[in-house]
Amino acid sequence: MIHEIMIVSQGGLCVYSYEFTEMNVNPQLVAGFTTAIGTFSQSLLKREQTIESLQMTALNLKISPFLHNALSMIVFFNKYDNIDIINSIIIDLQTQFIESFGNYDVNDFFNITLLKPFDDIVIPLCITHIDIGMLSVQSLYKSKLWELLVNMNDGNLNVRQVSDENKKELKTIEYIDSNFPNCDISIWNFDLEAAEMHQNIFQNKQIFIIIIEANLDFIQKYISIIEILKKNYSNSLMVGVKMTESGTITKNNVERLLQIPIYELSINEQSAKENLTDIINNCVIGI
Amino acid sequence: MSNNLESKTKLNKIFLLDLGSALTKVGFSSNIYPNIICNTSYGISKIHETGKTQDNNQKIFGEDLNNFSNPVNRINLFSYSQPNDLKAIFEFVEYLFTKISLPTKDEGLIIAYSPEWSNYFLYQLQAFLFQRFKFYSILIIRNDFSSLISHKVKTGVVLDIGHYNSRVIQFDKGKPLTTAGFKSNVAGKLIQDYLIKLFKKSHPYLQSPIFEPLISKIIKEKCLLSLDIDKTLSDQSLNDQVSEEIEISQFKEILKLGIEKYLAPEVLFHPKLANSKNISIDSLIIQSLKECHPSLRKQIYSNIILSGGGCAFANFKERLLSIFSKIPMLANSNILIHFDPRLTVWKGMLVAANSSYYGKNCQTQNEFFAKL
Repeated sequence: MIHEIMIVSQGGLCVYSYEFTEMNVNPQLVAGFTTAIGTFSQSLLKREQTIESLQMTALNLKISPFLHNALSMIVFFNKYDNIDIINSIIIDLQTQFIESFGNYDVNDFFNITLLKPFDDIVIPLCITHIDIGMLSVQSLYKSKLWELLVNMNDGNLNVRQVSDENKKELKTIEYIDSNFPNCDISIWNFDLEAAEMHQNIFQNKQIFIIIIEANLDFIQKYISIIEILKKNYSNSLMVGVKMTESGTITKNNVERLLQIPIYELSINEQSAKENLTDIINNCVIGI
Repeated sequence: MSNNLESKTKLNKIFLLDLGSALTKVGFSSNIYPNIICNTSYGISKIHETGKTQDNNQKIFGEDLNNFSNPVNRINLFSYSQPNDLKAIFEFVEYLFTKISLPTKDEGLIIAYSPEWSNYFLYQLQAFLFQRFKFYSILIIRNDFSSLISHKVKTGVVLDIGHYNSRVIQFDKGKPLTTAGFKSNVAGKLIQDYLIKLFKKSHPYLQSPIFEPLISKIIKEKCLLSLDIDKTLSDQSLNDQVSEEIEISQFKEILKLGIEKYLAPEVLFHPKLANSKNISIDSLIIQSLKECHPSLRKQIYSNIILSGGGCAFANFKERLLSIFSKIPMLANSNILIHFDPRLTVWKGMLVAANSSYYGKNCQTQNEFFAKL
């Protein structure tokens, strides 16, 4: 998902920024930094080089110059996002920018209010799609969890159209969250037992949430599948959700054994819905 | 035979040599403990001082390797119980004998060998030892048989957990029922690899071979088995209680070893944790039991002998006892283990050297070369 869009001038000033999530980035700091490293990379070698992207732990930053390098567009997005989709969004944004503001002189952009209408172009263009694969073994926890997810989205038209009985059988649900207006989220219900055989269905899933039973039998049985997923989908974000009712191994020890971040969830508690929302939100934000 | 028995009485002393896949022990039959215990590996210096005419590929062995100040490339002399480089092994053996005392023509030698070694290698080794050191006689003894007789029994099952693999061999009146026995890759190397994997995120550099001595030291000195792993992993405060700091001198960093000290050896019983498809140690014994003829089971499985570094973890015997208590055929077995299971083969060699076994089974130089 895209967190923030910025346009910076060649001189290192931010002329436009739009924040989709509350990252609280200082735009002028980013503008100064990217311009400085751009200058550094140009003077580093005889052959002209530019820095196109920066990779952080969970975030990527794409720097894309346009208008003969007079401006650069900077996009903050998650590591799990498909770079081709981000590139195409950047091209669309730049094209629309040139169409709308190409007749202005670069110096005019320092008047911040001038670029304010660009918001109307940025908001609809920056919508990305996130597919979350939720993997669990066939168990009581799986059906309870899925029921919880379906009920969380009862307001969603797609789910409302089906009967209560069929809701449990749904393989995919559209997850709606007002915190992420620029993000369509689909959650896929997968069986962990069949994960090794049906790997093609995991393609293009940016996030994997694995429902963990915290006992040694479960961990021994499924650790090899988790290892395969980690290896084959290294760009995807993988987290585990430990069902507190299903085993006694502590969260830290499950993290040690499986080497993925683990969240805890008590499915039978009143707060389960809020906790599950928090877990999904943390995964989508990815920071 | 009587000549052989007479020849034994002529011997001044008997040398003992146990070339294990991880540790080599060498010494005399008159000593309870080996004179030298060192890694079965050699090192080649990575940095060569300018102006010195020394051979750039000069091998460094034993204690010299541990005390060597410059960085070295460590190369194991055996890979999966097969010799890597015959010349290097001969140089290593020569180094060991030079360090303890050069043998004379009136002296004998016992070599413990792995049944996985090729006959060619075994002959080459004996021929080299006869020619280079003029031993009067040499006895070759299977390392699993040596483990068996270390407890002065002739019928039983030997579980040998080595560096590259673990084996179970059944012996009936001193004779192995199968040549190869039952084998699994769940052994010392898997424990090493798993410990490295547990620290992959916090200390990724531990994967480098230069940290192998440190990893081995941690496994040898700090790791132990839990009697109830489920309970151990469910204890919220245990990690803090058992946590200790280990200095990684090369990197000036601290390694925090907590519950990992229980987790690493646990792969012997739960190899899937380390993503290994091999069977666990307890299953290996149970599998061998299933394939043993029913008429022999009771007698053979009355003694289970534990041998090798993998058995040296605290609580190993207790853990096996608790598993076997649920299996009627194994519930009453005697589990025999020495204070230091790494020296089980050594103790068996001592028994062979200090009994008539040596005289009855050794081969003199003349006999050896006459056979060839």
